[in-house]
Amino acid sequence: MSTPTFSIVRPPPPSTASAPLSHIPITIPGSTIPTEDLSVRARGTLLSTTGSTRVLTATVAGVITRVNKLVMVRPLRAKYIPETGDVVIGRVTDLAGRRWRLDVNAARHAILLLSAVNLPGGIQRRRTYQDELNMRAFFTEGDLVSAEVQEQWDDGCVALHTRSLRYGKLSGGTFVPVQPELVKRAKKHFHRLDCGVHAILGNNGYIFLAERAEKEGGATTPEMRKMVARVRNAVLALDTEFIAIGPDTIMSVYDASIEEGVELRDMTRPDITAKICEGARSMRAAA
Amino acid sequence: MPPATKRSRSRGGGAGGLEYISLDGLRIDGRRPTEVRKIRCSLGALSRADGSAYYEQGNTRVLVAVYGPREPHSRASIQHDRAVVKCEFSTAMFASPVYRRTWKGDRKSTAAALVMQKAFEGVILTASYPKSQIDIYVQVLQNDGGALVAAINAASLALVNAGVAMSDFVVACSVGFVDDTFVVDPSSLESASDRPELTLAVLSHSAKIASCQLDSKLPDGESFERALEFATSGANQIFKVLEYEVRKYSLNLLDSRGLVAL
Repeated sequence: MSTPTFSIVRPPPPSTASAPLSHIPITIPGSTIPTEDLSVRARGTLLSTTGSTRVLTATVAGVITRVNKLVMVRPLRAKYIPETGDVVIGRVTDLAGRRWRLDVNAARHAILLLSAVNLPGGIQRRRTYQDELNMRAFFTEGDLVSAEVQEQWDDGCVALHTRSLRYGKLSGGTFVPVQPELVKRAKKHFHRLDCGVHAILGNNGYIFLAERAEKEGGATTPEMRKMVARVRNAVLALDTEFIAIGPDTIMSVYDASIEEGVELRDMTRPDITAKICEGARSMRAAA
Repeated sequence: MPPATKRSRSRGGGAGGLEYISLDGLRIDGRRPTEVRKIRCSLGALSRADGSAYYEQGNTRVLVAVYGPREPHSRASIQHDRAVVKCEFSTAMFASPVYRRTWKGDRKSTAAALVMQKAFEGVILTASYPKSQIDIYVQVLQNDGGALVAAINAASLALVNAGVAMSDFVVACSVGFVDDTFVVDPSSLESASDRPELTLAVLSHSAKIASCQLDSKLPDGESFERALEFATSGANQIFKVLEYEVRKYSLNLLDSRGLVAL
């Protein structure tokens, strides 16, 4: 018997997939990354030895990025990886001694220390035992909190802080989880959209929409609620189409849906989603 | 072919005297012995999971969801230096011709889950996700033989979709031994013959073996080597299809999000 040969399973040539991008090398776990000498390996790469040769291989499916000597592979989809200074939205999962633990869509829960929140009065004072007992008066399990990543500890844990009037408990709005790589790091994450809806775009892919900013009074009308719902559906449409989410793209989808006369409930239908996202899709070059 | 082999072939295979290889050298479903069934798959089939894949190999259909790396549910399972990989293997009630009540904790499912867990524990770079947990949920929707093979391939795709770091890409393939012939990727009819069957999971680039399972004995050591050879070439062929799918999916994502955005 000869060596087994196979002929039937034959994929079509990859050039037909996305013709304009087909020159971009996409890695797959284990595939070799072409390197020069003295390359410095970073995230998403692994130095593996096969026999006597050492080659750099990818560990995720993504795009090879080079900065001078640094070689890294950026995955196209992954869990949120916190970085210091990111604006995030988290949900409180439990309270431990002097700290809250928040789900921030990362590999592990983030920690919000009692000493990293602004206590009422705004003055810097010692956190007493009494404060520790009153922790549930600030945030309890299930609360949504906007915060900033303060630092990463040595054990890989992430600490948050809410030491600014911008951050704190979120209420009276809609929460939309999206894929974290669609929210870019930007100067501004608290937006007042052109339609009047306030949006917090968390770097971790958690988005909060409300008809008014926090601590702003007034009654909510059905029209305002519908507006928030339309923005929410616009965000979801961008998420399904995998288009970067920012105030410009959200408003583009929002306006397109109104122009086309799309009902609120129809916005999540796949055919309509694709149609109203066309404008936002064309913005990707400018992004 | 020596006459002895011919006689044994004419005796037929299963209880009903089923002939697994026809005189033309084709199998029951018309495939050649080295032929893998048609593969169709898609990544990101589920929106709520961190990674997911739908995978078809002939009439075997599997859906896999990957959650994680995420915070472990129980404190007891936390490993301070690495991630814990957990796998759950369940079969739908309507997956086989006989409508039967299945339970994810039965012996076969537990064995399959354990095989997958061990195979992926070795490949996933668990040390880069300390104190976390990665869950792999397998749901067999239709079982026409090779459910474990399909599940492993689908789980590889789902893990890639979830962006979990792995040292290599795992591909699985099985080889049956019916009528003195090695048949790659046996269907349920061929598997039901109770003849030797080898299920192999290999690392696609380094060609290391992630998992190897042999049901009932092969005649000698040499035929085991042959079986390994057949399974490896089958796995390589499947890998080409999976690699193409990953590439196509990634390019589509890249195209819609834009290169610059990050």
